[in-house]
Amino acid sequence: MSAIVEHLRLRDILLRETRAIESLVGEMEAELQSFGPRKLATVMQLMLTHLWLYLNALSSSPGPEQWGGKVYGDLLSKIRRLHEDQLAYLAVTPGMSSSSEVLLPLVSLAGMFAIKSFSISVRPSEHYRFGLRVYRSMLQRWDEDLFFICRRAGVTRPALPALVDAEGRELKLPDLFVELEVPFSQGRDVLMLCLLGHEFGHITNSTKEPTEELSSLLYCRTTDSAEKEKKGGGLLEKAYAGLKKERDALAAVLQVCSIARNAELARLEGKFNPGSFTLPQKYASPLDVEQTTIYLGWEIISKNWFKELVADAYALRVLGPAYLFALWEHAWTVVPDPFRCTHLYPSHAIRLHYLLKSLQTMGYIKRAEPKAPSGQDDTRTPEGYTATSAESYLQRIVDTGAVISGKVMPAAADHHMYGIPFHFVEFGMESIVLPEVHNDGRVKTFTASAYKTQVDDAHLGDRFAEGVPPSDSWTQDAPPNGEWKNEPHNTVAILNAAWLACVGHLDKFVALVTNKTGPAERADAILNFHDLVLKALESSETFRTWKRIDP
Amino acid sequence: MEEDRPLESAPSLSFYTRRQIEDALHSGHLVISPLLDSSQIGPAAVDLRLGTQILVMKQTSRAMIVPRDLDIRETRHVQRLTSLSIGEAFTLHPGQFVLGTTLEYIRLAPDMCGMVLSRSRFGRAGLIVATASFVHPRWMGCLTLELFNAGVLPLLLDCGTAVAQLSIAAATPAIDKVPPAPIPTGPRFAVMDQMSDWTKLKSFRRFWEQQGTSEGAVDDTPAPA
Repeated sequence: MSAIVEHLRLRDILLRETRAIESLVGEMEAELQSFGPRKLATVMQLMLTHLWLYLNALSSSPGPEQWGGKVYGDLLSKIRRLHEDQLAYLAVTPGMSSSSEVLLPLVSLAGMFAIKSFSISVRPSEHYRFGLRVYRSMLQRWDEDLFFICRRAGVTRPALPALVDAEGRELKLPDLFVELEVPFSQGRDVLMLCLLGHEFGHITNSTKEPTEELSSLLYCRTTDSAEKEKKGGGLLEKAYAGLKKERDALAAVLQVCSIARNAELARLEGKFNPGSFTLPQKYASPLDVEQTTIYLGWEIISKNWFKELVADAYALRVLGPAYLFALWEHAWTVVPDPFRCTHLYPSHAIRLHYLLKSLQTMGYIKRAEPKAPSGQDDTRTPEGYTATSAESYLQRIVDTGAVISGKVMPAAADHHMYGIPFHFVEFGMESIVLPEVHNDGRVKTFTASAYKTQVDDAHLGDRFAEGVPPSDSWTQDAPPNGEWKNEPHNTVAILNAAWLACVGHLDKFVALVTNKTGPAERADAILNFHDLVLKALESSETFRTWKRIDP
Repeated sequence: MEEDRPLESAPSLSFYTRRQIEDALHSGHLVISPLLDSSQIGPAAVDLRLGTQILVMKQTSRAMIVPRDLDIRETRHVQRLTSLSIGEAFTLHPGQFVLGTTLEYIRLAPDMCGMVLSRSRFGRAGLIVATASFVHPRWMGCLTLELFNAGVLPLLLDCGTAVAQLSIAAATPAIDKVPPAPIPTGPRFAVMDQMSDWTKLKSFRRFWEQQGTSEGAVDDTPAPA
């Protein structure tokens, strides 16, 4: 009798949790409905398709154990199985079936990242932030809420999984909800949606933990340095010991953040020697007494910062320069202080610099270099536009970002970038050729990079700038025999073409779509631009799907 | 009479045939993308597919549509955008009028103009596809289709179905430039408040009103027998 009561209690607990999760999913779904879910899902699907290809490329290529080869092969085999589980979950979960076509691409995405038994949703946010939240099922948090409920019910831990098995699929719950947060105002902005690539990087990272290796690498370096200083004895040793003993970690982290910011300011004024971490007294923070503070701070920061930087690198690898553009635009228009560091996040300046270095490593050298603003080309009339012009801003960020990243970051970045085999890099830019341009934006010559390229794509960005969306630009000219074997550009190429158009020729584009230069008209023109990019993506994907599907 | 003499340079109306259309597509002179199947190119027209966005007219408290007051804000009161996926169906009820769009992005050369026409098989089922069917030279974007079910039964329209066709005609001499305008990628409801005619017509109306007050109202009542 008691066994039956216990069973019923357990069942009650599980059903309650099921209802809670369904409620959460329903809430997400309701918000999706007001967000234009299909359009977003289309964009997401396009991005996910490329991510999928990316992972496939990794799995099929022999490479370092930590990045590719067998590891990814195993993950992919898990993915397929987990994906089936998820479809089954969606099929039996009430409320999900009506818009499952919206969520399925996102679920597929999570499947790619090999998160065991998960669900994923996109939540529009009123706040201007891109974010990632992970909800865990109560079953996975035995030591929290469920633990106390079950303790009150007199349930032991081993009994719970057995009950779940006994109840069958009806009570099958996902272990994880991955929820991506997208600012409502940016739902239509395709290029800004590239920032989601960063969040995808976090998901990948949460399963693979490559940052642990990288941060441990850095950790060892700084510790070695600190140990050397310790062996030397004297003031440093004393300070180091004192820091470890008396100051808590947070103080040290805040200290380093303060130093980092001051160092950037010092660099701006040309009074900082990048060869050392020594700052003039003027720029020193009140707590800035010893270099060992920095070493200790780096130990702590590196663990957090590297998660961000690796997620950045992942997004850059998958989305190419379009991701840099998105982050750059984010820093330029949204972030109040792009030089602000915290113990959790590196400043946008550092991130942009790191990404620029990565782009250069990938072969985007000419385009990655900041372009000087040209008086000839600059027809912008709105007040204040020049002051915040992208070109000068980027130049400033590059200069100042070099300070912090000048010493420690390059070593880690080199390790990260060169640690990936050559052909992985190639994959990210297989259809991009970058035109070399004068400072005024005129095309000088077209230079094919060292990587695999397709000649026609060189014109993609320029055609975009002329108001011709890439949807009508094909990878090769159609052959005269009328056989339509060619394909439109892929997602990355289109996004990057849009990036090129925005960076190099936005003014021309605005002038093309509207002859008015007021802020409202300009906003309309940019919206129109995004519509063109969306249309190009839709056309490209429709064509590919059409050819792929067997009637 | 002088006026009756035809112009020597008057162009003759000539439509592009399949081979000319293919040549124009291959040379980039004409852009229709994505052209999912080469069979879309008919003897003298290209089939156009129904796109994924549909503007549905709302039943509102508005008593009427006044074209001269129809600005962007006003249009949002009478329309609702519906997005569908390729292959997904939209039900067009008898007497219902919606705005669709072509899946294809189209760009015409300076010496081309076009005519959007219904495909006969859909026309026989009661579907009227385009009422404003002329496309000017140098036009680019996705065409808006005015879909109307003139039949007595609801019509199930799958997105991606070829419901319309575009005939291309030569426009000579080629036009030089057109003023920059937004490039539509979905259905566009007409915004008519910016038309210059309204101001002039308003002046006309005021003129006649003033005439009526200064010279005495025109006695339009029938004279007693």
